[in-house]
Amino acid sequence: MKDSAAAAIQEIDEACSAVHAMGEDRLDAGTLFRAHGHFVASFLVKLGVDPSELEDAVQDVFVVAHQRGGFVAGAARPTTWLAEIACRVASTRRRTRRRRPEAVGDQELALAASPQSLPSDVAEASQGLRRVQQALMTLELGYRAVFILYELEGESCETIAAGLGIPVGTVYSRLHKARKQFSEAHARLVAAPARSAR
Amino acid sequence: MTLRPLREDPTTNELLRRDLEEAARAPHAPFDLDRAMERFAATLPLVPLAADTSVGTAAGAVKSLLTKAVSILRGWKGAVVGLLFVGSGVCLAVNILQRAPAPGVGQEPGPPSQARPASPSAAPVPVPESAAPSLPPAVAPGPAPESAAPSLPPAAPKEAPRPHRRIGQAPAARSQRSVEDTAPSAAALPSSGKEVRVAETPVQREPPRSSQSAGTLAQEVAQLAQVKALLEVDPARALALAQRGHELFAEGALYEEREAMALLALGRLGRTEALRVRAERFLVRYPTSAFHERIRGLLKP
Repeated sequence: MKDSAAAAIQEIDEACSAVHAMGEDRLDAGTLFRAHGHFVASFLVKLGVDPSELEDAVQDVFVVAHQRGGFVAGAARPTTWLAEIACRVASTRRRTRRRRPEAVGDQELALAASPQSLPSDVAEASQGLRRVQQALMTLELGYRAVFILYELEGESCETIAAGLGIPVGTVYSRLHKARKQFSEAHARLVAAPARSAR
Repeated sequence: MTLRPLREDPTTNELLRRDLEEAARAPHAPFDLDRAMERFAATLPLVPLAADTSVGTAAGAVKSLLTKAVSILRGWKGAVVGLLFVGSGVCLAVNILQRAPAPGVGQEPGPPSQARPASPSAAPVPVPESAAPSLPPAVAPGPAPESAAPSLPPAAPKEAPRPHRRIGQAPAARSQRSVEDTAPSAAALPSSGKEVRVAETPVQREPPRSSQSAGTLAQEVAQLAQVKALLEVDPARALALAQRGHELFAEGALYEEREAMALLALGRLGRTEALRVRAERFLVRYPTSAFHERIRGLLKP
């Protein structure tokens, strides 16, 4: 049934693509979901959203995207535009739930490792991913988002600025500070892994 | 000096570079996109849109409407019923596109199972008084005492994740029961005297499906569509039906949306005290709800 539902959604996506092609250069929330759902989920995890809340948070992001009328082509990319919404969702969830965002489990980290890796590689990669995640959590949310988008997602400062709705100079500034804090935190984690490990 | 990522900078600490490289190359987090999209497609028509939306959102509304139609149809084997369903869905889609959105409400297309009064495919369904089984006093039509306001089910935890995160986990007995119970529940409510056109939904006809998740969700969507259909013409019955939905789909996916409909019905009935109590609870429980502003608007004098 899941396959058929997915196929149905795909059919409708294709059928409706003609509808948005007629209008302005706009991507509706459903199209965005299909194209960037995995990106949003991954971005939310890196932002610190608890994996148990991930599905809800992803839904929230695309509901907001829908309410905003979808993505309109401009200086931002769909990913950076969605990242801004994801930041708001993550911030609201953290504020209202009062949960620790650092709680990324071993299982998630192991699953996030490359599937072709050997077990030893997976363990090492898991350690690396853990260090990255823990170092990310030392950054403020706004800095964290910029760092993730630039350093891990390969977005340019210009598209980040357009997506987050901040001046490009602010992106540079945040990135500079985020790099410094991240590097320091990473160095601490490497020096004292046992103490930092949960 | 050209800015480049740390992992491409040879002056970066080697371990840091390796870790960042690993994090950048790591596959996306495990996430069931198909299931999430299915749920999103089911919820989308219930989300009020921002006032300044235009072409893209109209397309999105039509898309989500058709998505649900196709999704439900795929579970059916009866071609004749399917053709009827597609026909009513197309009529409804045309109606939605032609209908001007109400101020502050946005475009809210009804699910395919719902036929509006203007739809030629909607057969009038007079609600027989004699067919009404007994109902709790709280669901009596017309303005009722404030104390009779149905309360939120205790099953919904205060800080628990939104209830619609449990798609597909309803037990088989519940799914079967909801097929049987939902149908009479719409007609079971005492009529306020006027004939209300509410089309029969797939819930009332379809056999139990092989998939619990899709079947339960489709039934819940159809039941919510009935609530929406009644909201304008008979808010008392809409309120009662919403309450019935809370009972039928206690672990359902659309609790938040159904409760929002109940609050709108309370507002239409002028039951301000019950509205205030439930709305405040709703706003606390769903601070990021898409209905947040609308519910807050109900509380303004």
